[in-house]
Amino acid sequence: MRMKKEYVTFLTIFFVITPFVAAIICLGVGRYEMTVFETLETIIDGMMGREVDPTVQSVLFKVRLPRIILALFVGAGLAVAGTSFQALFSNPLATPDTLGVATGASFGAVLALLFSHNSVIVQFSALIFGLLSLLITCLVSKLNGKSSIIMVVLSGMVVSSIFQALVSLVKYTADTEEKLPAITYWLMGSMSRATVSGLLIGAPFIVIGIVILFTLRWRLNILSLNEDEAKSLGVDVKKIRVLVMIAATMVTASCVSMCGQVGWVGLLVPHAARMIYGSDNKKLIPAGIGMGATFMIIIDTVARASISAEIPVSILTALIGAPFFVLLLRKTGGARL
Amino acid sequence: MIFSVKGGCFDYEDRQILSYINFSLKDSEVMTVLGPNGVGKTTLLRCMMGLLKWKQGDTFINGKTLRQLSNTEIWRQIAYVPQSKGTALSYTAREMVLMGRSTGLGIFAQPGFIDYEAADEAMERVGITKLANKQCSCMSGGELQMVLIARALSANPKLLVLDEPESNLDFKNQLIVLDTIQRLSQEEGIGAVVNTHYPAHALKIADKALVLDYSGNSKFGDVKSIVNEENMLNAFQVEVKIVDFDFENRKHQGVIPIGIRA
Repeated sequence: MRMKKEYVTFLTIFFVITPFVAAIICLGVGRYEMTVFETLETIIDGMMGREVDPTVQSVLFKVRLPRIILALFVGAGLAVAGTSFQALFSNPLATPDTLGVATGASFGAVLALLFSHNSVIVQFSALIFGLLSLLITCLVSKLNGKSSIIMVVLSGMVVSSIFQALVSLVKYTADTEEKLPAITYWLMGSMSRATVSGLLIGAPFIVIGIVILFTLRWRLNILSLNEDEAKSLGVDVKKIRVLVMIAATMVTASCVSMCGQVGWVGLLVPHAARMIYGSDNKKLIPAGIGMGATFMIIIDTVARASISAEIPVSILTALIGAPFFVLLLRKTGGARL
Repeated sequence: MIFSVKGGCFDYEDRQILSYINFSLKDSEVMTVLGPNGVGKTTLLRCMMGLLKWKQGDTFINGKTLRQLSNTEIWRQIAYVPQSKGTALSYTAREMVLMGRSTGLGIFAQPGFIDYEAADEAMERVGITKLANKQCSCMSGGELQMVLIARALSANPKLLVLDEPESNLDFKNQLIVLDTIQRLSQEEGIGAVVNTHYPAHALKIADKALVLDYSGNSKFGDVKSIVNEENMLNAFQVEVKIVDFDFENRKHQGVIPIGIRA
């Protein structure tokens, strides 16, 4: 069901603004509480080079801001990657999680963490294994040159569980004093380790990936048709497919290496966008950026501020995502979404 | 534009599917391809457009082979209307028709005002303007087929290639599709290659016809000389009678199946 045009225009403006509004409000939320005006005042003061209370400065700029920026990139990135995978496989259930890409990438990251703390190496290892898992899923799901919706999801499950097992193997061999707790906590998915330097390494990958997918957004529509049709529309199918695969995997891998496996976002957000905008990727990709960023900022703030201890963010996304997935399946009968 | 195939051969897993196919079409001519199920009609279309590679022979557009032309040069002249099947992701008619503009746009480009205009015009040309905002997944077979024809037209091609456009449609929708093909050819000079199961449809709209049989052989020529009782028996193993009758000063032809002959 699609909404009336006026609502859609209103919502579009709304989703352009919300990430920023959410970011500013959420900056003030937490144990050290600030009103929106105080937050704004501090930011403006900070930017003007005026003196700011060191505690406030530290809480706001060193702890919360990097975290919120990370949440913004991860939310936008996973939503765009999910939307692109859905178009690529012409399959509404294709997401970084269901295709096994996220698990593959997290194995790559964990493996790299075992040997090195260099974030660039972790990033690349995540990307390589993310691509590898995507490739395996593609190959396994192909029957006579075609892959059905259900085969893709099943193959993704298989690939996912293989890499899950490999992750367990790495954990098993990891040093229990130091590495194991770090890996385990990281795997649960959390934005808490966000730092400016980490962002400087990881965020560019997400941005480049999003920019590629954003510029290809209309072509994604054509990619979702069958191959003959796409070719007959003058599209170099192979080239665009490879480009989309690499870009979407790069985004996923970079998200995973910065904050662990945050599931369901790649399914949840694109489908929320579909309910408003239909299937046109020209609208879905920008919508996904706004909605994904907002969603993730809010979820992460809930994760860090709702109780005195921190809740891993993946637990929250799963608690919201899984019921939503069931709803989606029930509503559409599972066959055609 | 002159579109022709010379000596086209294709085999698949040791079975000769198409052998030495020859035909040639001029501007605004309509050719129908007839033949029993599984004989290779769709394969012929795919080969002649370069979606599959001929094992021998070649396709020529104005005397140039497909290899001598760029992707864009080919798909600006030919537009393909596949058998209408829904996709899992459902677009509106307008979004679907707009995709036909892809050929003229660079890989990272977005469709602009001109493209939306062209899409709307294409829908108008086949009379589906009122469907513009309807989801393709909610359409009847006839509506979806017209959307796919509009998508092909939005690129302003010289030749339409349609794969069984009227199969799975009811009586009225079949006529809508056939009339559209005929009108585009007569009024706008757009040629067509049409796969069909119905010899009567070939007689109704085509200038030329190509009949395929299981041995891979083909016969090509004027529709009147090709769609005859002997060739139909040969290709389909069905004995037919072709009857002429006049109605309100127009000639009509019917193909009556008499029975199966092995």
